[in-house]
Amino acid sequence: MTEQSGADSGGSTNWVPVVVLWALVLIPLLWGVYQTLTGVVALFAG
Amino acid sequence: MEVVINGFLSRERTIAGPGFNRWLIPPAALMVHLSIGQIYAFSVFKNPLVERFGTGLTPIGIIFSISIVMLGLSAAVFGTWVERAGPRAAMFTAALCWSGGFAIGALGVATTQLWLVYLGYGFLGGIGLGIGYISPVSTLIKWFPDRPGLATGLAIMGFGGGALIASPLSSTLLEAYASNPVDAIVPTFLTLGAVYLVSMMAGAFVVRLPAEGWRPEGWTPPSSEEAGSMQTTADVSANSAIRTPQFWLLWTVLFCNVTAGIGILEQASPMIQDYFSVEAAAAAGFVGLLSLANMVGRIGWSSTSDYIGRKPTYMMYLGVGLVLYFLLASFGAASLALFLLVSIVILSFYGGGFATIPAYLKDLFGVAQVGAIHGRLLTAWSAAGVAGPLIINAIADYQTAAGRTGADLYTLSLFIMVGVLAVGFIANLLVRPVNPRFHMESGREEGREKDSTVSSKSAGEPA
Repeated sequence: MTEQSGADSGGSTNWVPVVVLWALVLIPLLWGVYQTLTGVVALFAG
Repeated sequence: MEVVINGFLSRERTIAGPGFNRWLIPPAALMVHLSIGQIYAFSVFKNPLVERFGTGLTPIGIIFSISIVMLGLSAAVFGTWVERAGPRAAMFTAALCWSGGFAIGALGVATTQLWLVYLGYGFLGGIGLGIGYISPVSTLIKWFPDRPGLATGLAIMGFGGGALIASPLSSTLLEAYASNPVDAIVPTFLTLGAVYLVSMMAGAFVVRLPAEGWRPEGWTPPSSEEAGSMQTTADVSANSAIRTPQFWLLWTVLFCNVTAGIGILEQASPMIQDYFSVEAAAAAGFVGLLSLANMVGRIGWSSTSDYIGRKPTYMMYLGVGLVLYFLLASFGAASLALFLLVSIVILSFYGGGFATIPAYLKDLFGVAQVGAIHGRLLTAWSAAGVAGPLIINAIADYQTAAGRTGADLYTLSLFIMVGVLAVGFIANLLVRPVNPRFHMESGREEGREKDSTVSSKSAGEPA
């Protein structure tokens, strides 16, 4: 299969869109985790 | 519209070309799951909606209930269509339903017509939830045959994580649009609907199916001996799957795991206040902590199941969970640290149970129609969504009427959850490989049972 070569090897595969797409989902997710943890710490500390 | 469906959205148009990187698929799936995961943050709107409609908590709570019931029903009804139409058409449809639900809901709030909110956010949005939830599952399993637990865990983690984004985002929007949150519901609904439309459409644009026969470089499918008896190399159709005892055993496993977890999740805030007399604000922090445990458990335990196997993983969820519930019921009131630790592990098992089930289904029924089978299994979620809170709330009301207070309100229901988990544990113990007579014949789209008179002659064959 043509798909087999390079599909997961990093050789002929372009990793730039992968990094961009992961950043697009991880940045808001980490923001949400940070907001939640900040709330948790503040509430239990208070 | 037909041009769109037969063109850009068609299954054939989503087949990946050479060099396509499979690591694009999990974030595409996450774009959908992080969007629909907003449903877990619905409580942010509860008080403003109560004030807007001048009604009680119960009529507003019905909005959430309709959404969850529609999630299970639509996943079951549209599962086969999702498999046939492909992930892009499914994600596209889910995006229209979910964001359309927000738009109709906003119209209902603007005109003070609660039934429009039921119809929009509840009914239409719930259909978007169901289709969106199952849309990337079988695609991920096809792209990651070597790590199905990791792949589905990544996506389903998004459903838990969606609330972590939506909760602070909704609060921020409600504050930003008006001085009174009641006046900010409509623009907040419209903004969220637009954001989720863009996010889910981006996921639909990116998603691809692997070409027929594709496999990861350097990976070969395990032989029957390597895979072990609990991983099939054949496929079972969705229609045949629901006639197998394995499907109903897994339905019971999911139902029991979710019933136990949702019982705590739904009552987390009042429970910790009754146990330790903490402030409501600290209780909200506890709920946030449980949401994190729910999310981390989805990716953590589901990935672990790739190494230790699906059946032992559920043995842990249900067996260790059973012991933890017993500890909570017997000694939970003695120590806040113990209460927190046990609750966090229980909620991680709750999330893990959701995320591991698609890979368990793939092991037992093959990959061909795993999305449709998963959709039908999610009716267990709808049933548990009613049973779990009902048990906890009814017993708490009964104990209150009997003059009990504090931890005594929950002790009996926690012991009942021990029993529920024991039932799930036994159901998981009974899971065996699917009888080969249910396997699809190769090259056929629709499953046709093989001659059962031949296969059933073999001694000691699976049930």
